Amino acid sequence: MDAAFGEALIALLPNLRRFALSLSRRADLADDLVQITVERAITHAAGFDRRARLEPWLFRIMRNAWIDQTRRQRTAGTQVDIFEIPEALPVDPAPALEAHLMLQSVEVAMATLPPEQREVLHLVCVEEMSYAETAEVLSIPVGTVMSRLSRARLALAGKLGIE
Amino acid sequence: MQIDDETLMALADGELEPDRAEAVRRAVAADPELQRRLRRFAETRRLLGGLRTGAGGEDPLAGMIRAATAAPAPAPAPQAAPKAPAANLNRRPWLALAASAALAALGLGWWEWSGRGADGLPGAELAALDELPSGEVRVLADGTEISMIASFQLAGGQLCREYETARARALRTVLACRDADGWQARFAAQAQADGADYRPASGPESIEAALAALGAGEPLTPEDEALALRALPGE
Repeated sequence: MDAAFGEALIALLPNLRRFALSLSRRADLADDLVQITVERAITHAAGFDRRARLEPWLFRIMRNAWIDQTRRQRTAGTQVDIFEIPEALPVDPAPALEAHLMLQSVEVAMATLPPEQREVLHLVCVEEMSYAETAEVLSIPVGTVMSRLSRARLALAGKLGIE
Repeated sequence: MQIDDETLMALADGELEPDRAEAVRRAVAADPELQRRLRRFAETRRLLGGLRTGAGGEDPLAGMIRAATAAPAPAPAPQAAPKAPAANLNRRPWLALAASAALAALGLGWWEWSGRGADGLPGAELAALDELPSGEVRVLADGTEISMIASFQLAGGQLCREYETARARALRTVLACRDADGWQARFAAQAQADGADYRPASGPESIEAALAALGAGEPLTPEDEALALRALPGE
C-alpha cells in the first residue's frame, strides 16, 4: 500500500463511476458499487501486480462485486428488477449542440441493449480496453468478446441509423 | 476477398496484426461495400468514445483513498475488531436495496466471538453452512428462511460464509468462519422489516468491514465453493 497506488486509483475514479453506471444504470447503486470497489482495491492492493495495468484489475473487482450484488438481490426475495426501473438518463435543459444530442441518443440506444452487450461495448469503446483485457475482466474467451462486441456494434449502428 | 464483420471490427479497433491490417485495409479501399460495413464499426467506436467524459472536479472518494493509502498497511489481525470507517462510508448496498423494498433497519450491532462460541449459532444454521450453496434459500423447521449469500477463503485457507436469515419481521446478516471447533460467527447484524419508512443504521459498518479485517478476497465462484464445502471435515 503506498501513495502512488492511491493516486493511480484516484485518477481512475471517473472510469470506475462510468463503468458502475453502465452496469447498474442507477446512480445510487453505482455510488455503492464504486465505493465497494475502492474498498476492496485498497484491501487487496498487495495482491496487485504492479507491472500490470490497473484498469482491468479494478473493472474485474467491480464486476465481481456487481455479480455478487445481483445474486444477493435474487436471494433476497421480492425485489425490484433493476433493469425494469425507468432509466434516469441525464437530461440537459438546454441542449444547444448537435454533438450533445448525438451523445444523448448514443446513451439511450446503448441503454436498450442487453446487459452483456452493454458491458463489452463499454469496456472496449468507452474505456478503450483491448479485447484481451476485456476477456480477462469478463472471464470469457477473446473470441466471445469479439462475437458479442460485433453483434452489439451492429445493433447500436442500427439504432443510430448508421447504414 | 471475403472479410467477416469481426475482422472489420478488429481493424476499426486497432486489434489486427500490422500485416493483416494492411491487407484488410487494401481490400477495403477497393470495395465500397466493405467501406460501408467498416463504417458501422468505426462510427460506433467514435460515438461511444464521446461518452468518455472528463471528471468535473475531484471525486468525493479521493480524500478517503489518500487517507487509506498514505497510512502504513495495517498488520493482519484476524481476531481484532475491524475499525469503523468514516460515517459517509456507512451505506451498504443491501441497506440501500432495503430502502427500495421498504425495509427499516432498526439497529446494527457488533458481536465479537472470541475463541469458541458454544452458544453461537443454531444447529440448523450450522447444517446449512456445511452444505447450502450460495444463492440458495432454505426454510428451517422453525420457519426461519436462510439465504446463503457468498463464500470467502481467507489467506490461510479458512472458509467463511455470509448468509441472511429472515423470520417474521426480523432480518439477520451473519458472517461465520470455520475453524477447528466448527463454525464461529465473526459478525452479525440485525434489522427489522417495517412497511413504513427507512432509517439508515448508525454505528459501525458491517460485513464489508468485517471481511476486510479478516483479509477475505473476492467471493468464491460456485465451483470453488462446492470444492471448499466438500473439503469440510465431516461430523
